[in-house]
Amino acid sequence: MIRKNTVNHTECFRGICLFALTGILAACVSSGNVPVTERGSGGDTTPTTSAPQTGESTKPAEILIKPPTNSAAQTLLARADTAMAEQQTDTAIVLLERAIRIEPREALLWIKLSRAHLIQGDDVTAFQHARKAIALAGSDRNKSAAAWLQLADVYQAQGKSADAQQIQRRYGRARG
Amino acid sequence: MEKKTQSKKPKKSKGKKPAQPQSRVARLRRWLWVTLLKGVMWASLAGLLIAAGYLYYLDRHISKTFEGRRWSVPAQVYAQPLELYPGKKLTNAQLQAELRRLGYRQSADLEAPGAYQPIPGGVNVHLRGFAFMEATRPAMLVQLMFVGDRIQRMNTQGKPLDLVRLEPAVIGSFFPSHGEDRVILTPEQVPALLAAGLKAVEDRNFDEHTGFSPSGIARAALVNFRSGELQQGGSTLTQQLVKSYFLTNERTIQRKLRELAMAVILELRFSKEDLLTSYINEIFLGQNGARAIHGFGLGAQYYFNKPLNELPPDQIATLISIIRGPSYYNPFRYPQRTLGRRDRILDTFLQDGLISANTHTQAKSQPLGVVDSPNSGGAYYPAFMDLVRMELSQRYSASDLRSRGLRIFTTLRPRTQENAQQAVTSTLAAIEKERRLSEGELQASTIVTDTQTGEVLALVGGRRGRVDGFNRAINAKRPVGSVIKPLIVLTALENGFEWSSTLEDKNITITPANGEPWSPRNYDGKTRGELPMIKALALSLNLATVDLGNRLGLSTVQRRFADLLDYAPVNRYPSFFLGAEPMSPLRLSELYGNFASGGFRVPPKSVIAVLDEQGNALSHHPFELEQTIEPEVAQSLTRGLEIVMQRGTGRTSPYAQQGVAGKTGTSNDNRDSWFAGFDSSQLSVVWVGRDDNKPTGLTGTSGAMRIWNAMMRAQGPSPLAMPPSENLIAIEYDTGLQATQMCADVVVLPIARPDTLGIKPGCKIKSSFGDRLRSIFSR
Repeated sequence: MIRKNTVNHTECFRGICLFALTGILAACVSSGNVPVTERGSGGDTTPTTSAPQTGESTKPAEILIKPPTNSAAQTLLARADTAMAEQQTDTAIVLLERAIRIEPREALLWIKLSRAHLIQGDDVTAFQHARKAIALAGSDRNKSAAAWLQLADVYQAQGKSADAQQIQRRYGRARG
Repeated sequence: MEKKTQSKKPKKSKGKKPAQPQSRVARLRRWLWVTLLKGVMWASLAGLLIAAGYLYYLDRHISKTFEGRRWSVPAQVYAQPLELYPGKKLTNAQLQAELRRLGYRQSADLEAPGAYQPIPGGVNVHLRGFAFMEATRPAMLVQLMFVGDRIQRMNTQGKPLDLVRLEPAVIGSFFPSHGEDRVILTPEQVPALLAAGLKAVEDRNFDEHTGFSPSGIARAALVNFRSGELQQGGSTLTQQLVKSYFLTNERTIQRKLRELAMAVILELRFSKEDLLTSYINEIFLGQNGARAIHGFGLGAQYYFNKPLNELPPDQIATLISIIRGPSYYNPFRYPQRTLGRRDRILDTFLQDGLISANTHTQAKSQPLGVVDSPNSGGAYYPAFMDLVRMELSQRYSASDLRSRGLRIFTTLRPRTQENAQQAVTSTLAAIEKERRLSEGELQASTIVTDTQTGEVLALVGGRRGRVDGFNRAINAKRPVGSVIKPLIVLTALENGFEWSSTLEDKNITITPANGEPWSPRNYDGKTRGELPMIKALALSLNLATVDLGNRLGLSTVQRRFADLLDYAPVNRYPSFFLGAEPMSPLRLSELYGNFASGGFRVPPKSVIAVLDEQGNALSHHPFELEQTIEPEVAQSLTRGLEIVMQRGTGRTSPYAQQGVAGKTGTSNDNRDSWFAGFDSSQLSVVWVGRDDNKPTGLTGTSGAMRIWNAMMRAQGPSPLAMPPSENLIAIEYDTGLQATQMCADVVVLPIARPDTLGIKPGCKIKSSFGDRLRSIFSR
């Protein structure tokens, strides 16, 4: 039969302390800001731990995200970034897809691919790729935020400004 | 008075002959002669007209065929290139096997591309150049070093290299119009020795004659007479070319004359170089099942698994040997005979000064050198090509694809394909042996896709991989049985049910509104009463599943089916809950793709891009996905399917405890045996059954899953890594009550609403702080 546990004193004390701690944490979390740091990027094919360049000078600085762990994916990502910077979106797409075949669960790659498709005007594909990035980012805060912000960009391109702004408010667009 | 009779004297006029009396016969003769002459003239004229007309017809016929074949360059179809980078899981031996599959030869001399040399702990390779989709890579020398089962580092010319790829395997080279494969060579690509050697052996006067060669016929007759065998044919290369266009066994005089006429026409119209090149691309060199081998380019691939330009003189001679009789001089069946002819041809090469004495000696000392069997030369995957053709036809018309030299990049991974085919072939043979079935009774098919992108890595249409036949992976629709159950469980998780929810596994009779009463049974005829949903899924209990399905409603479950697959199921009765729904392995793979990808519909895809000859993309097919399931629910279902492997009908797999998820399925009367399983990188769907649809006596576990086990054995599983989830709770496997491993046999699963859980009596649950908070605030 179902029976509830009886509360004992040790548990009670523990509970009070943890409760107090929770209150303090809750206060911090509710401010909603994702920590953002600006960093320069390596720009060439040697793997770096800095945030990758987007190649678009008008965009605010990238949220700091861990690069792909796999060195080949890093290399391909760097080449794709260069291609994007040179307006060679087709090439960037091929390179990013190659990278995904090597590291299929790397959210950052899907974010970049979404961006490339959006530039080419394929907002449908960009949308689903952004959703994929969100699903893969999971509990990684920075990746999740970047993925959501990419989705916001897709909404913006689709004319759904309200949806875009809602996301941007929630995930805090960095101002550099 | 007397009349004067005087003989008439002919009047003599000056310079004129006296008129002769004309006899009747002479007149007749004359008339005949004139008529005959006239007749002959008219007949000749008519004959000439007819002959001209006929020649015109022949001309149009042969020229059109020649032009059509000459200018159409077939589409080249490529598999995925193998990417190489430090850290990649690949052994030295595996890499060398890949190189051999691409026709690389082991050699100490790495001067030319297409060679590799093993060294301690690694390998040196002279990579061939290749024009990839986004970049052209020239030939290059690379060194790879391995540690354990991974690449450790790579260098090229002393500098470190962090990424390089092998060139992709050519898996098809076909004319979209007639579907046959060719490897077409341009005149520049024809090795000099081949061109000269062909003329020396088959048609000495090729460069001089005008289509036929009386001296050639005479010489051939002499040689054949002397040697007692058909060493030389009297036909010129041009005549042989004509014959090859119109393959017929008819060997009548008229046929011969017709060929002659057409050969002459070709000679008049086209250059010697054109004719020779066409010959090299068209001549029949063998047959393997339904597949005809035409042309030296394909021949080199088929017999030696190499590009033509890498063949040494002895192998060129072997290919020329085959022309005279591909069945008679079949290198696989009659190696000695073929070797003999090859050597005689090498002698001819020497006599004509085409090779040096040294080369001649060396060449003759070589063994025949053909690949092990007709099925090991060059990549040939007709079942996968079916899928490629299907996808192309959805996007392009036949005329779109007719432009020359298209390059089609596909998703196939040859190593995965070979593993899958081998697994099917060997496992079926083993099962047949164990169960004393006759060889060939069982059939199977499988599809392997990437879990995240849906790209098809391997497709096996039947147990005999390289012979075109019925493609069971795409076209055989069979009832899927229990593999449908995860769909029902998914619907349940999305509609308020939990893994701990109690289901009733008891006898039930359903009478649908417009159907017969239906009383399903469990596989062992027993009932198990009340049990949690996770256990019902793991044990694949029919009655509990029907209970769940009824509570959800058939239309709700089938709506979900349509969401995940983009089409509605055909079976609208509750038997759908037990998988009485015919599907092909391809479709089932698409269904499970939704689960394995973490909640996205990823239709199986085989074509990445189509480029024209200049390298411009006609189309690029991006990753196609559509979110269909909330990520948390998809993850939850995957955890459940892991438990199906760990504890349920999948537990006898050697890989059951290694981070894999899967579901077995058996249809009515054991006619169809199914398995769908995935790890973090690949999803595989396997079917085993009989073409005549009779029962096999196999279950999903004893049939299809064994093939999957064999596939796993070949490449090793990539364990699923579950991201941490707040909702993971230990529940008792038999009852669904919250418990701990100290007091019960538990499984750990996401529970969305833990407050709905009962607690097992006698268990001390150390609830997490989160739980307590939740329980306080949710009242």
